[in-house]
Amino acid sequence: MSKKINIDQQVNETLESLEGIQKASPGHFFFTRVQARLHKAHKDVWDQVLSFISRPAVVMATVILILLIDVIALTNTEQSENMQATEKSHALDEEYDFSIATIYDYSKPDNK
Amino acid sequence: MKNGDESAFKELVVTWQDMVYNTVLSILQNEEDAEDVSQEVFVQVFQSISSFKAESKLSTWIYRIATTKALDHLRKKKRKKRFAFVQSLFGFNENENEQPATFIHPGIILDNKEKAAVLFKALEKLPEKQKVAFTLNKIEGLSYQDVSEIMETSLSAVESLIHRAKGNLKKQLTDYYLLNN
Repeated sequence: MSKKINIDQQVNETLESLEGIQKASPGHFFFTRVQARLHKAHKDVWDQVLSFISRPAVVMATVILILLIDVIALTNTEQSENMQATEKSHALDEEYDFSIATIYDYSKPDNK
Repeated sequence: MKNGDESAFKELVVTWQDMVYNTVLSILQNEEDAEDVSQEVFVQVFQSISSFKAESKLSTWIYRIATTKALDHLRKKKRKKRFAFVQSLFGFNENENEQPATFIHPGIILDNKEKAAVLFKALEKLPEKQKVAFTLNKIEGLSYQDVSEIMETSLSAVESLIHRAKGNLKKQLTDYYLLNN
């Protein structure tokens, strides 16, 4: 019985041991360390971006993408150049009537 | 501060550093980890101050970040411990017998140091929510209302958490003294 009372007393004393507890403080120059950490966090973001960009897979994919864009652009340019040239020749054709090939054709009465 | 003013940030850190460190230290029970996590808390405060709406007090918001970060750290540590245990089963880990030292909170008065160490050991075994509620109320000295705002729960839920925490602590302490007397 007395043992139980003794244990209860110890438990209560232990629970009350936090009475009068004071706040713990971090080490000196805490703000300086936070500042350093902030700079590091900022740098880490750039490091992550750079390391991602410099990955061989990313580099290869980028090169392939650029080449693909080049090929598509070149094909489109060639097509549009051909079309422009055809349009020009048609325009000239219409303007100067190239369907009559020689002067002889003019002089032939059938053509008039 | 929201404009990235460094002197305002410094003022904030100086004002709240003890509060953050004390809370984190009480949860983690390790001074090095507490320092590390406290720094993380302020980095997070700086990075997300723009999202802080004055709906709650600044202290409530900082307390919330501090407790969340501390609990995250504890979970990470537990995961590492579990992994180390699995590794030790296969004979990969050499530090398997590493035991944490007894934690003595630096703010405890000399006469109570021994008993407080036993209490902190028991506190370590409480479920997360009970641990946070008990820490904020008994160590930080916050009211139930403040604790409920930090934990984003009702006042009655906090009362229940602290009541259960005390019950669990009593049970653990009784077992401890039964074994050690």
